[in-house]
Amino acid sequence: MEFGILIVVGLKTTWRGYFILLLLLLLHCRWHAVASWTWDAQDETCGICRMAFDGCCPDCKLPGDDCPLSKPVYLSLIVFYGIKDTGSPFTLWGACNHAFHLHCILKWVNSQSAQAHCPMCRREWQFKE
Amino acid sequence: MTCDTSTAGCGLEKLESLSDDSITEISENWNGFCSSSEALLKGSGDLSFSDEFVMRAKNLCKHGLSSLVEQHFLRCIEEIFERNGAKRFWSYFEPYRNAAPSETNKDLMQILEEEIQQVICKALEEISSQKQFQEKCLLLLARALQSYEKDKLQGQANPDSTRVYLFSKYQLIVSSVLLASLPHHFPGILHWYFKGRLEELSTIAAANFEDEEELGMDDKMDLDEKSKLPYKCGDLDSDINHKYAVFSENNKLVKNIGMVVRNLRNIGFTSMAEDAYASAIFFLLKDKVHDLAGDDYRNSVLESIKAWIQAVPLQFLRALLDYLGDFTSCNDPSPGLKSPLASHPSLCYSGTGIPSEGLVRWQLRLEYYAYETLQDLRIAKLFEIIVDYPDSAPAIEDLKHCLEYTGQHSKLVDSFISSLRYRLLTAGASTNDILHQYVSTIKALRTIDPAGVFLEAVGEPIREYLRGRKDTIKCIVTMLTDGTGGNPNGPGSSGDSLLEELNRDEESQENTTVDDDINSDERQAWINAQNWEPDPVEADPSKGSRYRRKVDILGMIVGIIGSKDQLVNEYRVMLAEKLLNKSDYDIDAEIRTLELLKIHFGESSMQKCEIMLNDLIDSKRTNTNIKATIKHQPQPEQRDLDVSLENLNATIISSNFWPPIQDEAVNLPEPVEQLLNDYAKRYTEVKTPRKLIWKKNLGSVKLELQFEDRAMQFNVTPLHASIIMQFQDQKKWTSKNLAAAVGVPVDVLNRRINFWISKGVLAESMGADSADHTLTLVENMNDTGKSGPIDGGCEELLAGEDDGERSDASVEDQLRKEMTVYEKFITGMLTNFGSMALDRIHNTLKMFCIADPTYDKSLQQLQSFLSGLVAEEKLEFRDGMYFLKK
Repeated sequence: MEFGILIVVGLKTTWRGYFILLLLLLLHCRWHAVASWTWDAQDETCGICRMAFDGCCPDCKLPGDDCPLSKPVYLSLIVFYGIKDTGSPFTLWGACNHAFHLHCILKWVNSQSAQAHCPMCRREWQFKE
Repeated sequence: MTCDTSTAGCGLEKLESLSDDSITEISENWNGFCSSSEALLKGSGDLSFSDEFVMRAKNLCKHGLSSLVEQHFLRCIEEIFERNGAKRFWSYFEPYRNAAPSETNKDLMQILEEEIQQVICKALEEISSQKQFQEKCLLLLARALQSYEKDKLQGQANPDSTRVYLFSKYQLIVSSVLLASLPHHFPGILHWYFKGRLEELSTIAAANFEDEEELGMDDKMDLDEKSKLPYKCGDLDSDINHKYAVFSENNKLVKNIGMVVRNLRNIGFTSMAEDAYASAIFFLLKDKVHDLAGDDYRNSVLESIKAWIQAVPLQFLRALLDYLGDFTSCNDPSPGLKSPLASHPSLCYSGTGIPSEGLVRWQLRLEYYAYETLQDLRIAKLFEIIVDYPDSAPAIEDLKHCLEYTGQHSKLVDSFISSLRYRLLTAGASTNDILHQYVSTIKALRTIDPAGVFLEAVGEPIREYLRGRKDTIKCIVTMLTDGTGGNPNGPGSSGDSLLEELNRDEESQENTTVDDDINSDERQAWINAQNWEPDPVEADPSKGSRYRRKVDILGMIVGIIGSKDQLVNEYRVMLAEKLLNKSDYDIDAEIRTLELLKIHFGESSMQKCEIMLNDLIDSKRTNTNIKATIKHQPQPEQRDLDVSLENLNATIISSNFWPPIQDEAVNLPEPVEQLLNDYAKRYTEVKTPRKLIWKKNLGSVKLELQFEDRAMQFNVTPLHASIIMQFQDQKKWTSKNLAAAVGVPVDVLNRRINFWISKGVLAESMGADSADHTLTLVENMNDTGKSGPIDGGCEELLAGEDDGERSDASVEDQLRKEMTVYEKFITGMLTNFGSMALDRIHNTLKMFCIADPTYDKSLQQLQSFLSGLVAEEKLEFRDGMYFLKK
């Protein structure tokens, strides 16, 4: 009875001119919906590996949590345990607002000798805090 | 007198020197000889003329006319035999000229048979006695000649030679006379006779045989395993001895037959008699095989046939040969006597220890014939046998043994292929059935011929045919994935065994390392080399022999399609459909199937499918996470919705890795829409920065409708649910308005609404506008009279399935999409060249489309695409050439 909507429908039927009260009870409606997820980034493809964000980087096999964008997703844990984040909202891109696969950009950053630059705009690369 | 000129020729000088005296003596003697010999031969058993006959003969011989005497006498005998013996003999059989054995009148046949039996015996006896008498006469002559010879040569010559010569001559005369006047129906009668006798014998023997069998069974039960084998041999021998004893009880019958055979031999019909009883035995054997084997494929019959051969025909032959004195050692014919050597393991049938050569030959002949008959029988019925294959394994096993013996594999291939063409590869047969039969064929023929040479030949037409069918891939995938069996009422359990095959494959692959790097392991190579066997003669030399070493069902199935990619694609589509229709997250069966497929098709090709399954697992986790947030963050002001979130589950998919999904816009009812938004919001919170895009037309809804007098449960698609939920607010809709409210075209709505009408929930009535129907809720089942089985019961049905609509695009559509890339190339080519044949287009595409979208389609795929273009009137097809439509 959780999601039961009790509706009383008055239905005028031509049947002998009576007004009959019809009871239509919608008991127990369990909805199984289907959705697809997508990264809420501005771009479609990773600038480094040219793969779709919704896919995964060449090194990974599973998309989604296993191949995140730019920053490890322990956020879900934070939310799960009810830790309220204070202040800054979570953003995962670089300071320049360019997004990449995390694995791709880490590889890139590690391959740079001194200061890494964003592969797209050549600005100094910094994870947005 | 004319006949002696030639013989007298040699003694021409003698003739000249003859005196008148001697001439008169000779002529006197001659006349006497003629009359006496005639009298002797005609006199029935009366030998009173013998003295005179002998004397005359001797006298003539003295004059050097021995050859003349001989010839004359033989001629006389021949004439008399022809006149009396042969004619009389044949006249016995005259009444049966037209009495061919037929089944029409059993009783009459029975009587006739009895008659014939007696007639044959009588006739043979008579002619034998006649012959004996004539032989006696002949003996007299022989003696006379002999004594003359002896006088002349003083006993130097072999005294027997004349007799032997005369008798062989006589034998020749008898048989030639008889054969010359042989009526054409005599062999038939003879055959009939033997058949009748043998049948009689076999019924007696069969009764004994059965007793024996029972006895043997009882004995065997008591035995422990260890002593089984040696006991069996001994048992067999003693059995046979015993049986022989039984036979000797029936010896009278055998003796009867033996007598007939001997008489027949006597008159020179050895080969004819042998033919007759051999054919009768074979006939009986054939009958027996047909009787035993018949249409029963569930039992092995080979052993019982062999046992029967031992028990009946061989015993008969043994007795017969024994009687005829053909045994090498006839000195010990007493069969009941068990010799101490009887436990001799091999072919000892009797106390004598060694079977006669003839008997062994007979045994081999009979067994070969039995094998051949059984083989022919089985081959003719091979199609039926394979239809119920797992049950008919014994029959297959029998056939295998037979073929090993006879080696007529090509016969099997030919006849099976023709029956396949006639019965299976027709338009009427469903692809599923063909595939099941194919799998059964592979399995069955694998037992017969592990090398797979014949399988290749047999499988080719099936493969060829299946390639021409459109739904082959789909059927194969269904067979692969349906572990529980697609059609439980189908023939046997052969259909659903492809999954088991996958299982078995897994085991075997664990044992033997992958075949590809076979030479990397030297030991393995050595083992392979040791196990090498030449291919059978029937092998097709144009095909590599290493290729056919491995008979693997999945490989052969995939071989039908050509490449595994198509199969994997189709599997992905089917998996997607299955997963999207799941309302719980239970995917254990799919995971198992996928693991098995991965083993067979390789990890990388199954990558996408794995992601799909992973999505489901993730969805489950995310779903619980989202539910958990509700508990952690109670929001009292939104209580209604929060509680209802409990009832919303979502499958969240990574759309990039799923097959293209049909997206239809649907307006969901307000509360549901709100729920979804809420769910999406929570998802974004949990998985920042990801968001959800709802596929509103997909999924399933479990509804329970409560009416005044009934409660109904449905499992429907969201579209159906939103339609019925519209009726909560408003009792009456016109279809146009309803379509607008739900957000789908009217025709789609009409299609969907049929579901509710058929369930008796809604009623449709024509409105003013013919295209616009009025839909009302049916309040009471009893009013409409439609009430029936649904009364208050719950109805489980996924409504989306019955109109055959699939939530995702099929492989063909996909292929079409892929091919559209090449459309530009093709039109370009055709503008340049004017017209091109299919081959040329294919080759040109292959040559030039190397970069970006690499052209990797098959000729068939291209053809179907081109015919699609022709149908769209973009191209024209004439005389095997494609043109641009002007």
